[in-house]
Amino acid sequence: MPSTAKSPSKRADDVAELSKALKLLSSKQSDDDRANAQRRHVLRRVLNLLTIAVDVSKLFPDVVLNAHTVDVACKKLIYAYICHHARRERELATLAVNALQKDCASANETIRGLAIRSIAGLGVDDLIEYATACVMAGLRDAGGYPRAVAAMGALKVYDLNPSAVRETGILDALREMLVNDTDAGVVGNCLIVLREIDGIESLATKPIVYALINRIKSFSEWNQALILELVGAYEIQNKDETFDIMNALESRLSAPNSAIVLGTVKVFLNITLEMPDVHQQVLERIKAPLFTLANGGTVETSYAVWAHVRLLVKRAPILFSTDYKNFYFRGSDSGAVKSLKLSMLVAVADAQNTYDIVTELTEYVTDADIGIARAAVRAVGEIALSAADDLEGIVDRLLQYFDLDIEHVTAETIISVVNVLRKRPKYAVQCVQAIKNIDLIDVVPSRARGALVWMYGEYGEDIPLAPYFIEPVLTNFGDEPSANVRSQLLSSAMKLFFKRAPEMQAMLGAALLAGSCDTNQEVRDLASLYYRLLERDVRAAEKVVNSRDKSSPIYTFKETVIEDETFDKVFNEFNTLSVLYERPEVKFVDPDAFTRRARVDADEMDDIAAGGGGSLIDHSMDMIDLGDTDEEKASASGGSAVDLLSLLDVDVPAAPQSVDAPPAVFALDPLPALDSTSFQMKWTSAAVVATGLQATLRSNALASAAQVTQHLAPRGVATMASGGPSNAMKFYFYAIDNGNREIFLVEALIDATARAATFTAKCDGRGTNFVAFQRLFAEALSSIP
Amino acid sequence: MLSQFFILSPRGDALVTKDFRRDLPRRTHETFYRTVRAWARSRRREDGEEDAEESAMGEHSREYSGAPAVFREDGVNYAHVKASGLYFVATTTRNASGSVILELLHRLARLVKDYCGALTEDAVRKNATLVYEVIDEAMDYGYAQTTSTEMLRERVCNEPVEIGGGLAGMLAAINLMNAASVASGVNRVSSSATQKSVVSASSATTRDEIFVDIIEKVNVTFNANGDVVTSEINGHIQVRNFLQGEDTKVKLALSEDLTIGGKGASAGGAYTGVILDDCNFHETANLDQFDIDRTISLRPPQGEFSLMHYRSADDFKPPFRIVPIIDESVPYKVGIELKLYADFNAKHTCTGCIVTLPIPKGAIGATARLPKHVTASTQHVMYDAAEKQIVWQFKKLPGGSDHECSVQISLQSERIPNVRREIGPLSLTFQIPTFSASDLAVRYLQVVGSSNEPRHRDDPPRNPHRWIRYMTKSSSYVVRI
Repeated sequence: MPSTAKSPSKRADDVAELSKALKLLSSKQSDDDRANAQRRHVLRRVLNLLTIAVDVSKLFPDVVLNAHTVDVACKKLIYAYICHHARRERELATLAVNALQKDCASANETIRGLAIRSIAGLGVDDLIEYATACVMAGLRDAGGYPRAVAAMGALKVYDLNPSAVRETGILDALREMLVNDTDAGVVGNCLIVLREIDGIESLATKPIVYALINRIKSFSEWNQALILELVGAYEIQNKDETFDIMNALESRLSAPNSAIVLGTVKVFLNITLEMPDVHQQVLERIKAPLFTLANGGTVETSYAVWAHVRLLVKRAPILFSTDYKNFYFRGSDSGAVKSLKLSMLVAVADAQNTYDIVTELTEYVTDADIGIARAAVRAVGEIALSAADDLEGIVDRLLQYFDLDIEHVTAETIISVVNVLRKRPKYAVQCVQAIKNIDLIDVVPSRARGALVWMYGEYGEDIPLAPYFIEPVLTNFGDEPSANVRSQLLSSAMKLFFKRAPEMQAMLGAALLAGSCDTNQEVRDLASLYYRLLERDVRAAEKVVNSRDKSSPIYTFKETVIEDETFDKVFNEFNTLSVLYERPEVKFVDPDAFTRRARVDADEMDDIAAGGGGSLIDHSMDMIDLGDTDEEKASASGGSAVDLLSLLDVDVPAAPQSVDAPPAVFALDPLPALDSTSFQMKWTSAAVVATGLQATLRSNALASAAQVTQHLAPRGVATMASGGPSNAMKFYFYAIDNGNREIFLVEALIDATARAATFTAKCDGRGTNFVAFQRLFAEALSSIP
Repeated sequence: MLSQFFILSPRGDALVTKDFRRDLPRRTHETFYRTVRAWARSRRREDGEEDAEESAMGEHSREYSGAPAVFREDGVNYAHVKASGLYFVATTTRNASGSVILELLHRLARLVKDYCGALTEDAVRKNATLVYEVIDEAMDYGYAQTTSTEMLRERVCNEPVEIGGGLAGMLAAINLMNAASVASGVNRVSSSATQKSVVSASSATTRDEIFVDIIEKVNVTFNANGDVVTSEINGHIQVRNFLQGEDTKVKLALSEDLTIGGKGASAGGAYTGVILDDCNFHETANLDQFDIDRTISLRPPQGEFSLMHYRSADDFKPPFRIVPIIDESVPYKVGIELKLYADFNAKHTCTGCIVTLPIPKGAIGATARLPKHVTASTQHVMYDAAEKQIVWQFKKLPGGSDHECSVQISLQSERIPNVRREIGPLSLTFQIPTFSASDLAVRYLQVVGSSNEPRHRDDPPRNPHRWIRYMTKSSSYVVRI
């Protein structure tokens, strides 16, 4: 039993002892039962050490020496060990190949499969010939297990070296097996592999789709899900086909696995898009199984199902309007599910069920989870906005939430009430009545503060205490953290001034003065606009700020929350993560993820530099110029103090760069974090680029890449990848600006013998401190001891 | 397609890490755990600029508590399921199907449980090699291969380390039982029967037996008038199969008066029999006879699986009713008389019923007492000051009985304007063994087919142990005040 309390030296002893034991066992016969039992025991200890991150790589030769055993359990342990280390110990991996190749011809089906899996999974490019040969042989194996393993192995080898696979007949063999193999597991794996290599569209042909649908029940659930995905990509040719497919897949709707049901739903919805009647029947038909899964499944799977129900509900709310009770909360619901249910209740609310829904939502307003309570208020507000006429009851209900006297409920209710008022001014009297005693000081969230301040300005004549509520805030104008609220304060102070001049005059003057010195440009602009308005013509100013006819709505609200186009895209991506995130794939999937490339190694980074990165080099020089001018601009504007008087004489000055961001002291994040995927993405997408930068190395004792990385790490420059001989070391570094979080990426070539370094730097962002970073980096390189 | 797979302990230690595609950083599980722990804060960042400025405002910044099962952080898609406190986590770079991944994670959790015998941190740690072997066979390059417990047995060689022995093992076993009875509420007949690994189950020492549990989760919401707002039963038939013999078949007969699909029911006669709205069945279930005589035949896979899931929103009789009477006549006080009725047949006894009543946030405190004749050994009531709620517990609660409890809440002010809105809602958790709320019943359970050994005519007829158990438990049982 591994114990985490062991000291490193004790562990070293363990490794030495295991090495001795393995050497001893390697001379024993392959079918010696007692030796095999001992081998198992020893190998298990080796793997246990491996799982607790002890370095057991020294044992590699000893382990391989035992590979001749015929015991399956031992084989597995040995293969697990080999695959784990092959990437790191490439020379040693060659040692293992011989044994693996021999096992690929073993009489035992399981051992053949294991050997193929291991040799294909070695991930060593030098050994690719052996791997393709074993995979090819495996595809023709008599046993289903080796064939399935070999199919999967083809993909692994392909990912390592696509052309090596294309040169062989492997892909053709897979295509043939996809339709003709008798073993469902093999067919499933062929589908997986070809889908990744050829793409799903090229597979969605009539013969393949029909062949798979007809035997769908013989496949595992996971392969059924894949087949359904394939059917979803198939374009049907006529109506008969639609019904044939639906009949064949109908039974999949009562599968207990939500992945299969959702896959089937996707197929049904897609193939009936051109037939509205049938499409509607499909929607009716799928409700029952979806609700069963959503209510009866595990917490996690039901969350995913509810997310899909939400999509369907938003797409066709009318069809679900009588099912609204299914969207009521249960005590067992997670926060995530409650949030989904709220948006569905809003979507299905119509003339018949609104009263019930709002009554139910009112119960949620006191939910212990503050986020849910606020979302419930918001939901009632949204229903009030979208409901047709008879909504008087809803507004009253909304206003009652003020009586609860719960801080976060009051804040959220203010926002909702103001939204309703903007659209339906006829409720002004009761809303003002309810809101008139709420003091700004008791409301914390800035959106609610902004909304309340708007009320004070708009309906100040009916709120007796309005000037006194905003007085403390106006006099300490700069203490208000939110710029939006500050803008709103100025507007409301102006409006109130024309309604209640005696109370407001002094306050307004002070506020405008404070506003004109504000750190936020919009607030400054607004303050000077009001100031000049008042100075030129007070009557005109009144017309400008208080010209609105209060009986007409200010603006109309979009009826759908998601834009239609986005929504359709998400619907097309039914049964994917898009539905859970409510955003289409293009918004979150890195397109490079499909360019089949494994974890960033030094040699793989070369590909990127040669491929995608190359085209950027041409633009690099003017990019840098841009960065410089930006910096100059910022510093220039920082110096020009904006004072009110000077503005009065000028027409409209050119908008100065923001002054609230004085050039910060440049520093790098001491512990930058960036994963290799983002590094690759940013490397190709970075707009600010500088190439051909030079640095001289003072050191003449530079021998290893580790020296460089160790030297740079404490300076905030982290290493993504490194490698190469000492006269052509190649590095990928990254660093993060501590101030504005911009990311710097560097590709550096260091020739230790010539003591010279060339590097390309890129910045993911505006490049405010890009030049400073280049300087820092060059200095850091040259100071390597 | 998964990039990586992890099993994390409740404290976030990686017990098992498996990197299928090597296309993501190795330590993503740390990001995962950090994000789940600090869900509230991290969410706001993606929430758009609308609320960006509120982010510094503590609790106002959270959208809801508890990370959803699937989320995206730093460009990586994470899906996770929680099983017995352990996190089963998958990462992917693709826009895969969330449902496929979540179902797969549940299946992997089930496999680990079947092979280790129990799902605890200790069991996974001690059986790490076995777990890796199972995962290696169940998954290849991020795709599911063989996930059936039974078929995997041909390929899995490692033996499980029993976690029964020693203090740690005992503690783990206790934890598991607590977790099982609290989280899922399933009353285990014997821990030795349900905690055994399917691997050791194949040995001659274990019994030839099958457990069929009809488990119904009841969801009821009552409004303040005592009317039912929503009610639904979510039931499933759970099987744990330790029958010996490769081609053993099982025939399970359900209530003959069972109707499925609600509407068809009323044709035969008004509201007789069991009415289910919808149901689904396990892949192995053969339903050829189901429409005729409501029998399901199957060749059950080894280990645990759900044979059938069903849902019934029909007007079943809720097993409990609570009537609260609120007295606001005394200033600075609110009195509540609770009356609890157990509306189910006296032959059943509810075990572990708990009634919780949250009191207003602004209340100073509360006291509760039971009638004098009640003995402390059968029920108990207390005020939990930390959670601000009254907790009323029963050890055993026979059907047909009724009980009372009176609560006094002390207030800071003379009155609370919306006192009813601030009290409650009452919630009940309970489990009633031997009872099925929907009336669904198993008429008989037949085991047909041979055992491992070749059978002779002289051999005694095979008689495996067949356990049929019923359980109704609360899922969400809420009474508003």
